[in-house]
Amino acid sequence: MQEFLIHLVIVVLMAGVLLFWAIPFIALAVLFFRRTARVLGEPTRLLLACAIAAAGIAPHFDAYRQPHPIWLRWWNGDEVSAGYALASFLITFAVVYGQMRLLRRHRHASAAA
Amino acid sequence: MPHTVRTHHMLRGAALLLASPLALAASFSGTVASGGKPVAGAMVTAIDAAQDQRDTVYTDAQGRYTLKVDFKGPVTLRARAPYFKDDVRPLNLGDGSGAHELDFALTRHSVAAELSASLSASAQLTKLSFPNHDSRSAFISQCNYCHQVGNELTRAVKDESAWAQTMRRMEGYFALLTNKEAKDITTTLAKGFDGKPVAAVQQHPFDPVVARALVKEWVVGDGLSFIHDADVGEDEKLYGVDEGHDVIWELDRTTGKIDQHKLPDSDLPEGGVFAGVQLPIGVFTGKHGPHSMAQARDGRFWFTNALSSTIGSFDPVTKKIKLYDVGRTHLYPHTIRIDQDGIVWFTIVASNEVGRFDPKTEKFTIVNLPKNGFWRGVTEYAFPYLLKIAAWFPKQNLQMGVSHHKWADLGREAFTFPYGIDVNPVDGSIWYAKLYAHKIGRIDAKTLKVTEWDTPLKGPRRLRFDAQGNLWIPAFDESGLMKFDTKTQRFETFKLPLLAHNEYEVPYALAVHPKTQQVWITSNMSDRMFRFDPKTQDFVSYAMPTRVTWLRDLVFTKDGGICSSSSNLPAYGIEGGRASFICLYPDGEQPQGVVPKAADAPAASIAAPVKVAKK
Repeated sequence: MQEFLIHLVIVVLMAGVLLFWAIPFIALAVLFFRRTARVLGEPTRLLLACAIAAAGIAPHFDAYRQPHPIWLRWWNGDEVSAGYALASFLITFAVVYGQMRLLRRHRHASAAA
Repeated sequence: MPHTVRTHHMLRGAALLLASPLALAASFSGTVASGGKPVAGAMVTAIDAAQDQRDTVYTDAQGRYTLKVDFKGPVTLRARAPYFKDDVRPLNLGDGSGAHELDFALTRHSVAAELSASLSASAQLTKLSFPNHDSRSAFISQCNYCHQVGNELTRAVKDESAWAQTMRRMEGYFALLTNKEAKDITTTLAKGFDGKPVAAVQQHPFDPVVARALVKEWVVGDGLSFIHDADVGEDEKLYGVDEGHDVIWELDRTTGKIDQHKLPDSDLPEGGVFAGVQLPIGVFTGKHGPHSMAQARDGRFWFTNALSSTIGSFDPVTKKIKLYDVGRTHLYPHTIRIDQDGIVWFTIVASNEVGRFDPKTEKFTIVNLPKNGFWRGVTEYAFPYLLKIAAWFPKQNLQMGVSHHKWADLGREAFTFPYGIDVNPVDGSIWYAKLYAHKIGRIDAKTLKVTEWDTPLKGPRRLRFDAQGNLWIPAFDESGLMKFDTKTQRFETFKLPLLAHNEYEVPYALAVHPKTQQVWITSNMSDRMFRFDPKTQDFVSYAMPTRVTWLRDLVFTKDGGICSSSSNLPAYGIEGGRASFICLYPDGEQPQGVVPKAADAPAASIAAPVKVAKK
């Protein structure tokens, strides 16, 4: 439990750095979401856009528990196992998707009011 | 091994005893030779029965020595010289009187592994081949920060994964390395420390002045004691702050009696403000971490508490200790000095600050030093909060997970580390060294205006003034000594004498003798201490009798001693396994107030390296 909490605190503190490194992926996700409005329904677009963003954010924790985006690790030639990467991606995706759903719900509610 | 021990109570011995400042002293005299030839500069050490005290003298050009001790009962005598096997003799002194003649016959090491094991850490390190200059610099700065590397404890043969584990532990202890530096050092250590003997190429020049010297060591505490700094009191006792155990040690050099005074408890957890950091296991068990000390004119000692962000006063008469809170965002109060007005000044390393404390008003003033770059500014702002969050999870090193010294690839450049500090005796200004920013700075004691200069050599550490207002600075990272003329604002640099061309030294601290104005410098990688004469620009090198001698602040006693604490971290890495107070008397123990002579003639001969058979 302590390990989980430590990782959680580290992710919160390092969120800015992780998002900075994920800027190309986030930009791509936004572009995808906007450009596919005529082709795909909103739930599908949101799901896929969040997946693109999550791919850019999904962290790998090094020996010091310092999180680095997995794509950056791979780009540097470091080894991150596929299983670790998949698990990290799925957790990140769940967080990003959850956040976006909340955000959109809040936005719709504000617009309706 | 031929040797003779002749104990006799003759007139000569009686005369020796009468001349000695010690009551009921035993004396030893004789020669140290090898194959009938005298061994000059050999160290003859007497160790008492409890192994709590060690007295050492050096042989002269004819291999002769005389040593007086106030030990009783069984003692051990040891003769030691580079490239030779120790000659160790047990002896019973009975009631501690008598004159003993004892000749030592040394034999040269003939087995490469044994010779290699007898060499200093500085020699062992020549086996390390770093892939680039940056990683080597980082190794010198960070891996030698608290201890030797290359001694028996730290040159263990390990594979790369084991070294990686060690490196991570050391980084948790605050070694500030980039990922690349950590990787390079790990690989280098795994390859270099392979258990094979190191080639012995050291040269040990014999200097006749060394033969006059006496070294006394008083063992203190246990294998986990960490007497960071020592100071000599007006009462001529030595006092030392044990950073690991929140204790002030007190040594009466006349009787050898050692007392300890425990610091008051604190509401902070173990590790103090640094509770979230995994500080050296077993060593740091306190909450205050007393680090540096200095005595004021009223007799009180002032000391910094690195872990609890406090400073304290200790009255050596009443033994009363009082603490003053600097504020918990001011991280790691470090070196402390007192100016002519009794104002207490101290560096605060991890917050890039200098503290000023007026004992009369009991008020602090914090001087913010120049940031020296964006990222260092980030450190200064964020580090206190980060440590606060890290303390939610004691000793888990959470800070390592977010520190920008890693993710922004800064290493030690993330900090400035204002470290040593001293008061200019000419104008009362306060001067400090920034260890990682490679700068020195001046604070106007009245206006608090700050001016900084880049140093020509890297790693300025514990600096000190001479009487003329020249600032002497040890260059920890570059085996050097720097002099800064505060009037002309010009630097001069000097290279420390190495035992071999491919070695290096890590001068931690220095001090200028108030009478002779000679500069005494710790060397720390080769178990030596240096004396530098600014007039002749000659160095005299004193070999220390105990392996893994790691000295800190140097202080001067009235009886001619240059004293320090031997505080390699951990103490169990020191030969004998315990820390000590150590005093070098270059002209033997003097009656109090006698001015020691200036350095005599420089080196006379050089002991050539020897070839030995490989086992």
